[in-house]
Amino acid sequence: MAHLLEVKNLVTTFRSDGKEFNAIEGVSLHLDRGEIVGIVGESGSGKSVTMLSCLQLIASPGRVAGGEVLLEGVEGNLLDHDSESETMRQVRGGRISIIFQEPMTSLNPVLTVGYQIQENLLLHNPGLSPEEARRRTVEAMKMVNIPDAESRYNYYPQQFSGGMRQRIMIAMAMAPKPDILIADEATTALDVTTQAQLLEMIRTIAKETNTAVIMITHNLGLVARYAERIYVMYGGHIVETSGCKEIFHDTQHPYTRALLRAIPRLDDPKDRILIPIDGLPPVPSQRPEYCPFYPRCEYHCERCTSHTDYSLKEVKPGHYSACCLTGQELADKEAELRGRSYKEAPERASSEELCLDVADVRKYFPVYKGLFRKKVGEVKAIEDICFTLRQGETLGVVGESGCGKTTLARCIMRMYEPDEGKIVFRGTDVAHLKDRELKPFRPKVSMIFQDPFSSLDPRQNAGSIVGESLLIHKLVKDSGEYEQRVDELFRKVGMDPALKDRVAHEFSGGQRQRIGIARALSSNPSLIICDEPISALDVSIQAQIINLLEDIQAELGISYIFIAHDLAVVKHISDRILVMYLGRVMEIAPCDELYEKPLHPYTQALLSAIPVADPLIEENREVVTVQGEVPSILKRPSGCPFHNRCPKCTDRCKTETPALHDAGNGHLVACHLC
Amino acid sequence: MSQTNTAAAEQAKQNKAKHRRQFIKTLFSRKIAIAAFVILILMILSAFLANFIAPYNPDEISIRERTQGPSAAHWLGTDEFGRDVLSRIIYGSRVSLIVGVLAVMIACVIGTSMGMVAGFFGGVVDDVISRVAEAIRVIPQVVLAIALCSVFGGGIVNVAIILGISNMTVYIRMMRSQVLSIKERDYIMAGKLQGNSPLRLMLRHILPNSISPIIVTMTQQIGGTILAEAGLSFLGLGISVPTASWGSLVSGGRDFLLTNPVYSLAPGICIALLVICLNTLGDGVRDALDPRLRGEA
Repeated sequence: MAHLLEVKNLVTTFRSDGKEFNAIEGVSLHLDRGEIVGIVGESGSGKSVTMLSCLQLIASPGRVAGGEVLLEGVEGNLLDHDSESETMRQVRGGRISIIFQEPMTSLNPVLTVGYQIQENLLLHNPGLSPEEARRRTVEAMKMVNIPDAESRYNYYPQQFSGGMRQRIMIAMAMAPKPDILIADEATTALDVTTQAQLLEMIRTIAKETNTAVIMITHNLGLVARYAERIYVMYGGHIVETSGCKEIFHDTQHPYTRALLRAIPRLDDPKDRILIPIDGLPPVPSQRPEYCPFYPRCEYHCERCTSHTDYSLKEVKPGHYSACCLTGQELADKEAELRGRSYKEAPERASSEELCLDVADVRKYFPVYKGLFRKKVGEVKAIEDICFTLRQGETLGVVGESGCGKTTLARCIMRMYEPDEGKIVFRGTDVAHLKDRELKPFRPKVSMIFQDPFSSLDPRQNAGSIVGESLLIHKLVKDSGEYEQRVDELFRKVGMDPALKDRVAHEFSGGQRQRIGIARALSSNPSLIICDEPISALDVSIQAQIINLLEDIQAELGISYIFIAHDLAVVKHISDRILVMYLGRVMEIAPCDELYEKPLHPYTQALLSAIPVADPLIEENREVVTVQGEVPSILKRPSGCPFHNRCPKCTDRCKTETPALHDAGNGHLVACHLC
Repeated sequence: MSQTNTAAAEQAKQNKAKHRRQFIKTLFSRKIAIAAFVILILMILSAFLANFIAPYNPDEISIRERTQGPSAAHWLGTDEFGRDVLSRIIYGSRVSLIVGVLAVMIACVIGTSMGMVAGFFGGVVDDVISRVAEAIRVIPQVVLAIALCSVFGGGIVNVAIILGISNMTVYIRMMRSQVLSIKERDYIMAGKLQGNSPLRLMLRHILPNSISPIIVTMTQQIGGTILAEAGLSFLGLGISVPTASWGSLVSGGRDFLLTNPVYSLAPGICIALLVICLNTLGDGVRDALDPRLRGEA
């Protein structure tokens, strides 16, 4: 049977330093009408390159070196047509549309959104009259649930929020009625609640219009919830493909198995051990002849290195895997591996001693306008923040973008001086200390940053980055002790001290984050604030870093404030969790309590928006989607900030701001209804 | 324990030596950089050893031999007073090199530090420094230099200081904008949170990361400064009359461009050569300072 889209043995090469190497090698896949297919893999695995190659959008120094792309209704191999030919241009956008990751930059800011949608429509339907084009544009905008589509036609992109812009991108992609929609990490940059709304919408539209969807993502949870068939990619190859349930419950390829063991899940028991995948993904130019996963694979044996045929083999009906080991061999090895005892989850003992007591902290940022910088208003970044943290405890802070997580962190770090409130750190109120008085406080609190690329000084070598606070606070006596202490810190975060005179750009993302952790540890702090420390890392690296943080805590008894938007990760590492929304604390509860019995409607919505990497659980889960998007912090609703999106909103919620009150078991919640 | 300490210190010393080797290797990774370096050294040497190299006294007037073209006796000909052009160029390199390099150094050091302070502290400090810089910038550079020269008088050092001050604003503005973007990076915040003092933060983290465009501008400005000195000397405000400088030679020869082009062209080529060499070397230094480029060379 002919498929809608069939890709056979696609090879794309890139040229670098005068050598050509294969970014993807012999990728084959197919797609039928109305199907939702997921392509998952880490960065650099070739997901996007595959789809761009099909559309001949690979720019120099890359080129499509071979293979076939067959699209229903187009004569012969799509790759035989010239990249700029009429056929290719009609295929792009007309038959196959793409939505990209970054909604903020993918729309042209000087043209109205209506014009931009219509432009795409007219390109692929030249005969359309202006009235008809306009009518269909508005129709497309209505399809993606943009309210008042008629009047929004003449709006400019900057008048929409990120989620709305991504809706417009979808409307633009869907307006010419394509057969295939490619969503390349289309929701990665969005908040979780918006992400859930958009993907639900894409699914509905795809089913109504019988459009095939290819979801490219690194998030296994998303494909578990939405995809019907899955391709797993690693190192430029498809390593496994099957139906969604089979991938998760009858996993064949060692890479997929390792990945599932490494990611934290929302439904995990608290003490589950994450088994990280050792090592790093291969650099395309240094990929071996044999299986690219070989050096990191737990199951590898001698035969793997001599086996260079890396094509997919049917293991079970409809289930293909690229591993050269037979099912029996894998099962034997599995038994052997699982029999081996893994390192126990480190025992973390939090003492009763209070490390941090934050009370009624408020921080507003003034907004100035005009020539004389007149104050015209203020951004109410955070207000009425109260919580405590014991020594050795981990507090997870979750919330969507703009909820004030980072402002809170910076107030505690005293990057900002809070307008009001107390921040008592081990008995001293640091909230209003002057810069000079803060000096003894600095080494006791450190921070791990989100972006491992911008948080390390590119001009300093790793050793001096790690050792800097030793010098500033005179924690070492002489240069010999300094070198020794730096070496010790390197070893503590699992790195070879020999690497200390390399500079930041010579390290991978995971290694950089380790250097960041070593820097945070260098001054013997009692509190470390981790601001989304793993969200910029590949999934297979994340587990390594989480485990490292847990080990360090168990060894040194440091308290963590762990900021993240990924609730599954937070759940794994935290003892208690604080949920924020628009600058206010919504709920604070012990970890298990929060996940089992979330009280606040916002927490409930947040939890149900996050997909679990297990299609069977996803099938039975009740998904509560909330309406709307996170409002701008400048327009915080009066009363309870969540009231305009809350399904249980009452009149009282609209006028009276609920205070945080105890609901038993150390569970604090700010809601009138519970 | 103390043994491992000394071993570690030894290791650190070796690393430093390795870095120096790496720096030099990257600096001279392009052949043209070696050529530029050699030419520059030759120029500096000839300026130092002018007494020994120059075939004639540069200021000796010989009316019989005036405005001659190149000959065996006078390789580059003579000027309107019969002075040997080659000797004047060799002696003139002293003035030009000193004024050019010194003026740019002064401009760069003052401008960069003011720009860094303005960008780093912001607020009132920034307002004051920026307004001062704008005020200086409003006055055309040559007019400003003329005014300062007539107040403070000529002489090599004075000319260098004056040209330095009038060039300073470029560095203030450039550094300020560099700092404004760099100070928002996470590693600067990390530095602050570790308890770095503002001074240390500026010198250790901000300066190394914003130096590249400064170095490039410096090398380009040296040529312009040498010509500006000529302009001042031409007006009788710079270096006093008989002393030669490249700039004054270029302007002195312009009346004879048709009859004796070598007179004006030779010092002009010297200026061009100096600027090209400095530029090439500047690019090399910039690359060698940048660890991102160091590895690839």
